[in-house]
Amino acid sequence: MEKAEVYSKLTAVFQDVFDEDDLTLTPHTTADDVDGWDSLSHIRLVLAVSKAFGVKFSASEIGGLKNVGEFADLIEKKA
Amino acid sequence: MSLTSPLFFAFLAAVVVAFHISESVAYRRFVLGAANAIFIASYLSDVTQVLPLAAFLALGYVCVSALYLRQSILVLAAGVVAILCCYVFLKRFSFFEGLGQLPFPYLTVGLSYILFRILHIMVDVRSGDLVERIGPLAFFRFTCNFLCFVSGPIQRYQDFSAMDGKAAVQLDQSVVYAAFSRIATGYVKFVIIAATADYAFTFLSPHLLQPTGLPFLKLCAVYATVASLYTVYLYFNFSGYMDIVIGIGTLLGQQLPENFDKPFSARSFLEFWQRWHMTLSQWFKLYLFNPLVMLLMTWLPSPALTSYLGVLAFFITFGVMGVWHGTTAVFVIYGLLMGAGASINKLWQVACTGRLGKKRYRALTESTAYIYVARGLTVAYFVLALTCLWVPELPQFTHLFARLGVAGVVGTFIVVAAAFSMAALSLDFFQARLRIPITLSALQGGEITKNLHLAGKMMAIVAVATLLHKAPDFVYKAF
Repeated sequence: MEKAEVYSKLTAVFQDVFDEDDLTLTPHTTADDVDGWDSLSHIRLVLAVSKAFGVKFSASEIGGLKNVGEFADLIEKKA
Repeated sequence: MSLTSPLFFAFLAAVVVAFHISESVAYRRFVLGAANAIFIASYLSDVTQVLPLAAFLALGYVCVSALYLRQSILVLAAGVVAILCCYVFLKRFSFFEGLGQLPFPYLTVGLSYILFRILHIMVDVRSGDLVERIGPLAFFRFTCNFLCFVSGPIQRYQDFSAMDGKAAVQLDQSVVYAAFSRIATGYVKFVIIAATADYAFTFLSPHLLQPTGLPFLKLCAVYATVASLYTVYLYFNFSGYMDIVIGIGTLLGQQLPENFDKPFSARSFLEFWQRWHMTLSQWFKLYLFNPLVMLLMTWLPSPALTSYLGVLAFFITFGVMGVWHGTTAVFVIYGLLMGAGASINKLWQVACTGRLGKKRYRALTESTAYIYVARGLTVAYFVLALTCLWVPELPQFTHLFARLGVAGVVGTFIVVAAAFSMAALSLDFFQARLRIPITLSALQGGEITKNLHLAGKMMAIVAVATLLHKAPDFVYKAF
């Protein structure tokens, strides 16, 4: 999957999970930049991403993500 | 081996010297493995005492090997059940007294942390996060690393393996100085601050538990003092221990993970647990909380339920963590109190976001008054919940709380919260205004000041250790 495609699909998932239509993503976006991105909504986000891209994540992948860039790279690798 | 015994220092010096005799990876791994074996042997008076630990490790290795052969969820589940049953049996949990016990005394130190290491390897091998084949000797070096044997930090195998005897260690002046400085800081915390707090705690706490006790107000005052002293003791004892092992680690080519990140600066209970005993909370988050929340959310996908599922997961996670800490019913109460703290914090966040909106809530949490009140409440809650660790027997625990009553507990909570808020506020106020004169700061980086500072710490350690006449033990060894 192309990186641009990953980002556009990922942005749609983020907007849906965090209920914010004007949310934009960059590789450097972290949990601090998105209101309501906490340990619980992170799991909801991972589930939504798994469903949207048809991929699965392991325990340390879910816990080890530092920013959106790493998340997108991981999806790109798996999808 | 006690951290303050001359034997420990001699052992350390021997290990560091032996480690640096050769750069051969095989040799260094042999030194580290032998150091672990000697360290464990120092706890034994008879060779049979180590057999249960050896059996536990062997079972762990069999489970891990089985997972290399078949990465199935069934093998993982069977392995986890086997490991947990063995652990519960060996730790002699009071809830399972009917199971019986081994007819001889044996070593239980280290088991709790070995449990986490084995479970982590199993889960990661099954998920494909850990593909490297672990040999039996590497398994021993990792699970029984003498630096982390007694009480962590809980390292991941992937991080351990990246260094395990093969990382280049340049012992130049700055590395050695940093290591010694860190170790000295650890001993200052351990031998001076924690030991003094323990001294006062041991002096005052019997007054609380005696049957014909103090008048109500005095009881509350003593309880607030004793609970605060225990928290000071626990933090400085544990974080001092971590400073010591992390410092030694750098001399042996091991970069151990940090376990504390200024926990008393946390502005919420949830943040507190991201700063306190971090490798433990991180482990629980990765291997229990996250999978549990994921499972619950798959069953009940409605976003409206998120925070309630979180509350349930907090109670289960902290409940398990509480039971892990000790083998009596009071540790279940401890887990439930921590779960309640995390849940109240989460529900408060959700309620405030709902009422004020995300932006206004964020602005509120950044106001000075909110920050210091929140810091006070967080610390006071933790201080009182820790009572479970120093009154671990249920009859004494219920007796103490029956005498305090709701008024006593709430009153003590408010007093501790207010005292901490005021202290934190004044400390931050003065720190922000205190300017070091230019000449002093120029001196600060200099060799003389640096070494004077280190020598000062050493002198203080010797002076206080002589005064107290008591070599402190490591508190977390008991858990």
